[in-house]
Amino acid sequence: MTGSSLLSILILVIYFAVLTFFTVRSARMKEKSMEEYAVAGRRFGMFFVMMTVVATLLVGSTYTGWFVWAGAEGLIAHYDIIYVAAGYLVLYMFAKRVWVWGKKHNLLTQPDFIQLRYRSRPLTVIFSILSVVIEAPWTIMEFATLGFLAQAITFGAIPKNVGMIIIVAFILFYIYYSGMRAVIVTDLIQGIISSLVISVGLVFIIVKVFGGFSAMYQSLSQAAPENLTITMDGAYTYQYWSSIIITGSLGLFAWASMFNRIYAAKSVKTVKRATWWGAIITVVFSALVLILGLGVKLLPEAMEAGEQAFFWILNSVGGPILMSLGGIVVIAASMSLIDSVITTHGVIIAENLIKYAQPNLPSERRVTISRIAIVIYIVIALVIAMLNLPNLAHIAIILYEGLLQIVPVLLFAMFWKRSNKHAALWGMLVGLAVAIVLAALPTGWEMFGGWTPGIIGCLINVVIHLILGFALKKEAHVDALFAQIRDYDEAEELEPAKAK
Amino acid sequence: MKEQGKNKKKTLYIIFFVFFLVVFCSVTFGPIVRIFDRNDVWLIGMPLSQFWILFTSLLIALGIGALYYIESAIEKRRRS
Repeated sequence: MTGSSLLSILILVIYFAVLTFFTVRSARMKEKSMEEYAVAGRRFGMFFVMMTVVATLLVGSTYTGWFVWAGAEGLIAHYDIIYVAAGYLVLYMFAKRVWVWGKKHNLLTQPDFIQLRYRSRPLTVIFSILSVVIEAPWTIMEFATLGFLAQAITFGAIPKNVGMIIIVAFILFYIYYSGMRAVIVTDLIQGIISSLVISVGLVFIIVKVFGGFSAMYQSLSQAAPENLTITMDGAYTYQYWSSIIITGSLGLFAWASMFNRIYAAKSVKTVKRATWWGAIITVVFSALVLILGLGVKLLPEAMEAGEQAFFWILNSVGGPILMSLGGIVVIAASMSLIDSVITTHGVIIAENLIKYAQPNLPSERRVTISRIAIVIYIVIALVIAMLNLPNLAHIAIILYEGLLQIVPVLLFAMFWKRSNKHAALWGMLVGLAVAIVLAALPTGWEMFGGWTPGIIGCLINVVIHLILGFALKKEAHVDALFAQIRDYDEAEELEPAKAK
Repeated sequence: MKEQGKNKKKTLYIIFFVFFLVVFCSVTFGPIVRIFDRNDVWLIGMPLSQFWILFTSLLIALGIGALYYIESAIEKRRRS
């Protein structure tokens, strides 16, 4: 083991020790209840909510897959910057409805929201299963990424599988300990560290390696001018560009864990304020990462490093210390996504699947079931991740096209009174079938001039939803639900004392 | 007063809906993106294509901020 490996391991150990300290000190559950475990008692303020959303949107693959994609093919990879900005806009639109209904009806999961709006057990159960099944391959891939990261930043001293087990065991420790509260507290710490490293480190690197932003673009315009166009001079279509932005920004809200972040806030105002600050921070940071990614094209050795290009640059500029710090940022980004997804899945299994079979389970018992479900889920995911399945990434991409089919259901549920359970169920199932079949076909991605299978499925989904929405009678309970939104006074949140 | 505040908010939402739609389409709708997808025109040290991606993304983020503050101001005025 070299000195560089030891230094990296030491920095990692310090990082995990800091996270453990804050988790044990600040993330203890106030009571053993499902509301506390799933949505942290709905008590978090703007800064915490902002950081947890930022940490989720700056995912690990921004620094690995997308980073090297920007280097290889240029501006097409910068769709990430636009889709996160647009994603925040969707979050702003959803905030009031999700939070108010969540608070008034004690909702704990995204499927709870569907059950409240449509009052259909079959729809809610299918929705719950889809959420877990579609998102699970992404969790497994992130597990594998964590192992790969641990190996990369310790210069091979920690083997991939050992690294994966250690980091995942750590995630299990804190989400078992206090669920969403631990997720939000650790996201805050991870977000602060990442923000510091990215804002200072990346500007420093761009100046040091390329002589500044402008100089980098000038060199790139000589070496690979096609990388400075969105379509790579015609290699991609504009339809594809539009598709990936729309899929990305809407797809963010198909992730069940996003609802739990909104529920965890203490008010609608909190979510809205967190949204606008989060949007600025995420746009600036994603831009910095991906602009540096563009420059990879000018560094042949970094290009050769593939998905480790980010670490190659960090190591060449700042040695093992900067590389370890950068590694922590990427590990933190992956962990922030995984922890909330796993916690949410554990809660969905307890609340929306097991509780339906045994409705009288007390809250404390459901927390225990959630925890057991999380342990089983993690063990299965770890085993699959260690098997190195060659088709896992392909399966995950196909399923993501399916994930988008959840979005019309959510949008119509929130904004259209005539939307009903039949429209939601059949629109979603047909859209899902179309998207998955097209995505699995070798020609499916080109069949519609660059529009992705998810978008085609979504269009069919929307058409079916509209037809059944207009054809069938409006459900009786809907007016009362929408009245709760209409009558909710956000001003009371501003000055609660006066409002009373 | 409450009704007046609600009407103001409705107008605000319509204005911002149009604003966001225009910005979003300008960076996703092929025929418009094509106009800005240029590496031979440069602005503040970067090609127009890159500038347009960054500019529209920031515009969306700042637009959310503007919407939030105007919305809050309407709420505050209504209460006072």
